[in-house]
Amino acid sequence: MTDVASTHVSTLSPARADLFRIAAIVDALLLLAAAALAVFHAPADTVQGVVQKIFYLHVPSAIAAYAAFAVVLAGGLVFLWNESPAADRLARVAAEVGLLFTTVMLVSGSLWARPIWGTYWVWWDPRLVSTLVLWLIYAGYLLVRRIATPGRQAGRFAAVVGIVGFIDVPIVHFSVSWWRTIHPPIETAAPEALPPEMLLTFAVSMVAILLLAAVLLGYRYRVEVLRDRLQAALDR
Amino acid sequence: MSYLAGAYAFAIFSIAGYIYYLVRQARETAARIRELDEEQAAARGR
Repeated sequence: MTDVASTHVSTLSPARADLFRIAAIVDALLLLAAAALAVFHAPADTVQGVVQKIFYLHVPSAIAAYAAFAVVLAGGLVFLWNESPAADRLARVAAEVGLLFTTVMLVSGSLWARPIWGTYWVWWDPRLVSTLVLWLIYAGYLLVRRIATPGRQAGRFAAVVGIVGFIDVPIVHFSVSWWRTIHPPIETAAPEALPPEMLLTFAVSMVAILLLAAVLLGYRYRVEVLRDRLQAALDR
Repeated sequence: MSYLAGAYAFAIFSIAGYIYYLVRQARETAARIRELDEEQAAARGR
């Protein structure tokens, strides 16, 4: 990934830019390793066949989305507490990254469901519907941020939406335990439930996708810093 | 197999598309900031 620092309008010290570049390279290698493990190392599931390998994409994407929305929550709380522009900016960019991974989770889940359940979507299922609601909450959050006039009031309103929206994250996660659902329970992805080859592939995929989310978040944050700097220059 | 390929292809295209968008935004915004800085420097020089 091209570093923002290389645009000659740097947002980072050279040491931090190097660290960011190293993280991006390590993550690219981890993603390649995860793909290779999923294709060549992890066995096909005895019941579901090769389509079960969507698991190595679907579950880490879900965790990455949860983590990004937790950052939106934290950023919103900090902004309400001390009105830090950096916290507001962090919440804004984390919502975008979280929405990206929620989209990947929803689409990969639907494509996994079709051959296993015989349908792409089940409207009565609490896990599926609560996940769609999660997507809509953060899409709405980003829409609010886009249409509202930037400023203190917009930041406060968005922070409240981001904080209230996070309530849906535990609902999504525990929906499979709380209600009757067609979706497999959380224990299916527990380490003790997986054979070693699957566990290794899952662990590498998880680290690779979480690091990808962090790298995207860092890069997107710095794009936002540049945008704010441009706005300040235009206002001068 | 096609569902598996479809899921991974969707993820790759979505994430790669997002990265492309971010890199473009970074370059365009940085270029605009440079332009403004140069304009302001030129105005100060006049």
